[in-house]
Amino acid sequence: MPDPFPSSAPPIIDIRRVTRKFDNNMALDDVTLSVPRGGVFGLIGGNGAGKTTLIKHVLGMLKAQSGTVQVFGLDPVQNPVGTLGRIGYLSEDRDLPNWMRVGELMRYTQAFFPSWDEAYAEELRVAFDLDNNAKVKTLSRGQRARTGLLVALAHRPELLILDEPSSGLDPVVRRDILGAIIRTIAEEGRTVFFSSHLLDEVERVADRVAIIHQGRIMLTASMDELKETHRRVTLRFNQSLDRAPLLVGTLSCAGEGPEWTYVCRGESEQLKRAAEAIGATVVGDASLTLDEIFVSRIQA
Amino acid sequence: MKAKVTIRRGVVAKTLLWEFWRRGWLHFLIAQVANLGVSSIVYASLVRSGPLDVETGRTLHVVLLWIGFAASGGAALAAHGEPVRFFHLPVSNAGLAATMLFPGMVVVAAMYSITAGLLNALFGVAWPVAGPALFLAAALGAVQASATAAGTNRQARLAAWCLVGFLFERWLCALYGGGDLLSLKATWVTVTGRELFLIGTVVGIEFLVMMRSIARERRGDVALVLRIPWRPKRRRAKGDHLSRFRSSATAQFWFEWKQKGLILPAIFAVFAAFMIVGYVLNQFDNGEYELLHACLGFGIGLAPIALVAGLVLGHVDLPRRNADCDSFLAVRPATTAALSGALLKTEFASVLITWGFWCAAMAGSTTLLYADQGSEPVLDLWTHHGEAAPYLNVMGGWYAALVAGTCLVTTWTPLALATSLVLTGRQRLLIAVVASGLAVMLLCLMFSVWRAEGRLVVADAIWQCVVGIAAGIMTVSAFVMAARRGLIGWPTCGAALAGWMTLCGLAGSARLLVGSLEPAPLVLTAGLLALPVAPLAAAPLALAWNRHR
Repeated sequence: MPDPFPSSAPPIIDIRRVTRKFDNNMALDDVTLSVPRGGVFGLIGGNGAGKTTLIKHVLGMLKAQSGTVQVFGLDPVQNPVGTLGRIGYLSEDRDLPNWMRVGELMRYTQAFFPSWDEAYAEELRVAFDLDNNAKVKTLSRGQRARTGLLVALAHRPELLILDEPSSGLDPVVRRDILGAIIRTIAEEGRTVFFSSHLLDEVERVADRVAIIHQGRIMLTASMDELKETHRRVTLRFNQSLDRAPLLVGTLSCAGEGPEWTYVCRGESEQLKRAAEAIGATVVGDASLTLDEIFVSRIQA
Repeated sequence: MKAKVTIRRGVVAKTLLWEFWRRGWLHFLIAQVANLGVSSIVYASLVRSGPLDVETGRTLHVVLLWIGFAASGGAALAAHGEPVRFFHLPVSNAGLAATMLFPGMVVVAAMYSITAGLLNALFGVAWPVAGPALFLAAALGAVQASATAAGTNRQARLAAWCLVGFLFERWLCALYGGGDLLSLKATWVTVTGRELFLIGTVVGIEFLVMMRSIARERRGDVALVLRIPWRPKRRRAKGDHLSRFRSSATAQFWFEWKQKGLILPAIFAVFAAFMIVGYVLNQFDNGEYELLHACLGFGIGLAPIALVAGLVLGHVDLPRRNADCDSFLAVRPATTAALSGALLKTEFASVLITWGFWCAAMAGSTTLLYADQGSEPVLDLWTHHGEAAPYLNVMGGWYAALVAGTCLVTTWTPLALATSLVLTGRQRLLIAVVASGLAVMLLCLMFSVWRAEGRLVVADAIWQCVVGIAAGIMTVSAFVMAARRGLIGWPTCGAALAGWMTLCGLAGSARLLVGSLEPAPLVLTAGLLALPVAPLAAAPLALAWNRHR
């Protein structure tokens, strides 16, 4: 299987040492992030972690107070046409003009994108069961999200940016539509950059993730790498212990007596050797879900 | 066991009042500035012609009272919004009705009182305070209650407002001694007990209507009027929507026009309808003369109207009254200059249409007056009672073009400049500019009054040069900044220069014809004529600041 992230290809989004303050609140703190071309990149973090702020920098809606942001090798603030013309964006709050009809919104958006695929747009409209003549203000939350998704997708963008795409979609629609769209885009060699705090969804679709917490990128890795390097190991010691001995890469630890469970950074073999070094035997070794990795990293 | 729930009524009332104030305080400030601005400009321009006769003063007072009510009432209604957002709160229908009625009434009465008090102090116009303030409060209550009673249907609301407007206009005329709006017989100085009781009764009825309407809406019932088919539903064929746009610029123009294009023409249409109905129903003593007089007045009033309109139209997301550049517009793959250009183009088209209608109305009312009373009253009005006669004498028919052109420029300039200010999306800056604008305006008015009374002697040349040079420097700075940031290119700068030179050429020619060639007025004119082109740079600069925060 070819590497979806060839290191030689220039990143589609290149953020270097970006800092952003809102009054006294540090929203982004020295953030550096590269999003490779192709694949699905998930940006995960809790509420207020800085996901939307970071995305706004990528779209040029916020100007970096320090550091640089480049998308397709261009500064989105200096060159909005060159960057935004190749991006499809679905905002968290589904920012669409209420007074427009769906058909009008499609025509209006089409005018800005020479690559607009009319047949594809119509196909999506039918698939999403949207009425051309319906006013945006009369749409339900789900329909509104679908409308936003339609206008973000119909020009077949090189980079699709979705900010919390799941909110407003019911589980069935979320699973079927979002998954299908993201996969389709990714398979065409396009890039999807999406933020979410619903980690099961990220785990299902993302090839690569970054964890953002309190405005700092804590970790960036491919999903496989993340799973391989974060393990839950259960160790048995020869005697009962009041306190668990320190194990290299420990993020959290629980247990009592001779048996303790560690959530650790590190691969299975490394952890096994480390356990032997402190006089314990590995009696259980399992990979973690993204949810568990996220919680343990944040709590650590 | 049931837990006892205690609702602290005082806290709830305070919270709802706080919400009302937070939603509306900026609009109140703007409306107050507009009220004072329009009235002060009118009186400051009249003060030089000597004291007003009582009838004219009364008519002016009532007309300005209604204009002021439109501004302050609009602000209060916007602050109140729809009651539906409170329906989930543990507040009784009576409590909600009071919340949706009384704060706005207080604001409208207070704003009128401030305007009247300041005008009385500055110009000695002797506007009555208590009576009209109470009347306007009751009028706002009627507007609010009828709107809630009519439900969400626009046509039903419009019909209800027309009815309320008519009834209150007749009532006000009765309170001013009878007669018609432009020929009232007495000034309503003292509020009698009977009048007070009547106003109180009307407010009580408004409260009951409001309470019943809120109760109905809370139940989810449809207003009775909504069951009437106001218009036949247009059947749309499948796929019957907009055809494809030729370019992104056309699409953006359509986007702006649909939201903002017709606001200014609609203001003129309301004025025109009012005048035509008054004329046709013989409501004016000297019909044709009043018609032309009002048209000229509207032309002068277009500048402050445009200023207020600019503060409204500059909102990026007008339906949500949001000045911040939201993500929908910010992520359009278009340059900031293109986005702001579409808005300026919309505003210019809007101004052009309004101005065209005004010109047609001027031509029509001039013809009517000329046909009825000959040339003397026509010339009297067109030359502002002879003040501008030298221009007419040397320019002949071109004088009409000068008046019309001045109206166009003085409408466009405040509209576009105010829009540029709001396009920054910075509320604090807007407040600072509006507040300092108010202070400067009041200072200028006092300055003008003192000069007229001979209490202050300052050489005209000094302030004319200072204002002219300051306007010029600000305009040039805007162009330099916009060009340095790559927001505008040489074609825009060239077009602005050409526009400015054309305007200067036209103004200079007019001055040359009347032989008025002192340098200071020329500097002032040249500086001020830079302002109409300033938005070509200021608008993209402001939007860029808003779009890329």
